[in-house]
Amino acid sequence: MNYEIMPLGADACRVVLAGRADAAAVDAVEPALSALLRETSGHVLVDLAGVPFMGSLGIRMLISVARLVARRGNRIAMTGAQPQVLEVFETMALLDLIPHAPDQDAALALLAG
Amino acid sequence: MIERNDGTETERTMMSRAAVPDGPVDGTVVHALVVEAYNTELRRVPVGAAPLIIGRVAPAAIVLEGGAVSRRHCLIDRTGDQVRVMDLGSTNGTYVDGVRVAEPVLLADGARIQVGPHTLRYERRRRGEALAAASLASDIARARDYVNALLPPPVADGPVRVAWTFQPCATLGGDALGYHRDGDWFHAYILDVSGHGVGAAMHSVSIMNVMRQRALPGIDTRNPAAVLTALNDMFDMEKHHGMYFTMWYGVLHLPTRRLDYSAGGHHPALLHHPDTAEVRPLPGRGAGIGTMPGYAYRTATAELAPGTRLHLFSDGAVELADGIAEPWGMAQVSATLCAPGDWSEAPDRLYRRVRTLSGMRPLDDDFSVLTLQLA
Repeated sequence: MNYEIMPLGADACRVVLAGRADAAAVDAVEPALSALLRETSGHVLVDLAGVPFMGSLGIRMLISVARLVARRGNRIAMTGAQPQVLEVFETMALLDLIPHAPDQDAALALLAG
Repeated sequence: MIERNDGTETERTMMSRAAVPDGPVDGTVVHALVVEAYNTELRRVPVGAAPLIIGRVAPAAIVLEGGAVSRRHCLIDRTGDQVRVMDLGSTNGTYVDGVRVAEPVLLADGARIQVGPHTLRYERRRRGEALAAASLASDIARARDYVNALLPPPVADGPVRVAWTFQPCATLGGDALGYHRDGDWFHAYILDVSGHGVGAAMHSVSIMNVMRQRALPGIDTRNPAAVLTALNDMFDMEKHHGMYFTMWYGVLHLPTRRLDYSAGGHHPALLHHPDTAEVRPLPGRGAGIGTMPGYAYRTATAELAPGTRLHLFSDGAVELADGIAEPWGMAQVSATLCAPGDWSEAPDRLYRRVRTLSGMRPLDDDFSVLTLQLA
């Protein structure tokens, strides 16, 4: 799995994940991704368009990021999740914790509150 | 090299050497093959100065079962710090990282050698690291034994009969299951801790012990939502090294056959009636246990007809690694579990199917299936 973090407007960043979020992939990227996110400020938009599979460790990573962002008083949203990944999020009630928007504009609206 | 042919066939992987070679001081590089063979635990075979033959029969140093393995299949040869594999004219070929071996191939650390359905991973490590790896493997084996010891025995008679298959993966995947009768009620659950390894297994053991000892003070354990809410409070992932778990928990009232159930992020259970062939998933939307403090779980209810079967299963039954030969998901799991046949064989039937689909490679996750058969 690859990731990229880029600025999004003045007060947010966009995290683009790509590839299967299985145990091995998450183990490989989570420490560096978490460290980078701790150095950012503002809201976080997670773009999942390139993620065909989300395993339990991938979900754990998303929850950890959500808790990190919430602790610093910012908001988090997701966009682009593929149907099978959205189904996993539904089963896990994850969308109660991290809302999902159908496109980036809607996601930005969520982040703006 | 001359093959001694004593005609001995074997049904399992055999090792001819100790796990870690004696002698060299720390810092010495040791070479090993990690053998991932069907239906066996992961094994580490040192590669010493003498060439190693891999084949289907003794006296090959590594004996692997199966018709796709030739009697003398391939040879591992070490010169100094260089380890090569050469094919010995095997019928089905030897592959290194997916490429068929024609000439001897120099192995890089982590190279995967494919022999029939089996995989052997080449590892090059300093002796200290090799000893640590052997020690970890031993710890994992002990943890696996402990989890196994906590699982209740199958139930062969009574109003609810129970069969299950629990096959932990090599690194342990944190699955657990349990059930017990409580007067007119029958409780059953399955759970799956996020992550792998001894940590995940320790977490699943902690939860199992809470469930076994009914250690949920003030909680009516016949109320599934109350049980999950209490567990969610007790096992907040922030206080448990970031680990959460998914769970399906149900309580059957035997006189009325009313099933109350609740789920936290787990796959739906399947209700199956063999007479009508009706299959109905019992969905369980709810937060993974430990992920959201204060989450309000809900209890759902289903009325079960006599003779109904209930199947519970974990991620390892549904989510297979990439590269399998055909699509696999909930629909296929359901069709396999609910295929005609003896109720008690359903868990093993699904396990065999999953193993076949995975090319007999070791599974990436624990495999757990629990089947309940109502009278």
